[in-house]
Amino acid sequence: MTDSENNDQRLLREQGLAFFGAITASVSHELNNVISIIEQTAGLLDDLLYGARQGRPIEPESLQRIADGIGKQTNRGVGIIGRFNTFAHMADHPAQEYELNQTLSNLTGLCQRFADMKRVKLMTNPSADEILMYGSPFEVQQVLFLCIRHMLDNAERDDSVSISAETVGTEAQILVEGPAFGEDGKLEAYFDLLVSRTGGKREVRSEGGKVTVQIVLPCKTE
Amino acid sequence: MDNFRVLFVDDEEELVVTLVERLGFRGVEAEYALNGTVALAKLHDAEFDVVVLDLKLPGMSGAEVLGVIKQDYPQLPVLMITGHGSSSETPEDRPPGAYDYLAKPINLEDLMTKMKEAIAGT
Repeated sequence: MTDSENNDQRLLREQGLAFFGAITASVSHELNNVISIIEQTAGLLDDLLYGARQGRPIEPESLQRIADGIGKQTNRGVGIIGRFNTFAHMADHPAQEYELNQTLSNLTGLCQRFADMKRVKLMTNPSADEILMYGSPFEVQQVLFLCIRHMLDNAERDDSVSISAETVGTEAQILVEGPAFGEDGKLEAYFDLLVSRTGGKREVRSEGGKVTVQIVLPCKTE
Repeated sequence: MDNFRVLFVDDEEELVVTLVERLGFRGVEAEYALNGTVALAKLHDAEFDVVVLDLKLPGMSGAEVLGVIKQDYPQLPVLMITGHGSSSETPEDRPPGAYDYLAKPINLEDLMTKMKEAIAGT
């Protein structure tokens, strides 16, 4: 292996871990919030029971509110864990069959918290039909995450970032549209390296402070 | 001393609403803000004895809000809520100037004790 190939491998390893770490940290923070809310809601029930023993009646509406709150957070937690589980299993095999719209939807779900912190709207526009792919969904998500993070880093409040997918012939075309980010030679090199590993091509178009990143990947062939 | 005023700053509305209600049962007056901008506006309009501030906020970060509070209300103690309480925390996880740092999920009785300590220390 040449020095350049060694450097590429090291960069891919480091950035892959960084990507996994960023998603994991975000998921753990969100789950911590879910647990905190459930814990305090259970504490509120304790407080109401304590009051009842002191002669203060409990309103049925209060109990309903508590039950609804715990149910809502439980569902939220199930959603977070489901998305994270799907994400984690995307690294199971270097190449596997996957459905592109689901992959994009899962990624935007995982990135929602990053967007919320910046007060940016993050949207997915899936294609009408399913798009079957064969390759590494983990690396595809890594490419898209790179775009999303850089757009969010340069976003102002109320900006939007959108991801859409459609098939064009035997290829899948993914468009990521959002605030433009500055030129960065290292980022460009890493981006190209990642896209080349997915077997795809990419094009970047900038206009009026906005950028559209187009990534074209071959669909799964029979 | 249970009759003090606390401002919670956290973007998890259901969490802060529940905390406010639970503190009400304990005779503590509490309000909340879902972001730093609203928190600073509330501090401008009313007096609080202690602020409980989440590190991760939409828009202005908890660290930025803490910086403004320390500048504009230097006597106002702030308890910072971090996402984790391990020794692996980085300086970014513990911006300087807070009275103390607590990790989620918070135990309410521990929080009460810390808030009273913080107020007594001013």
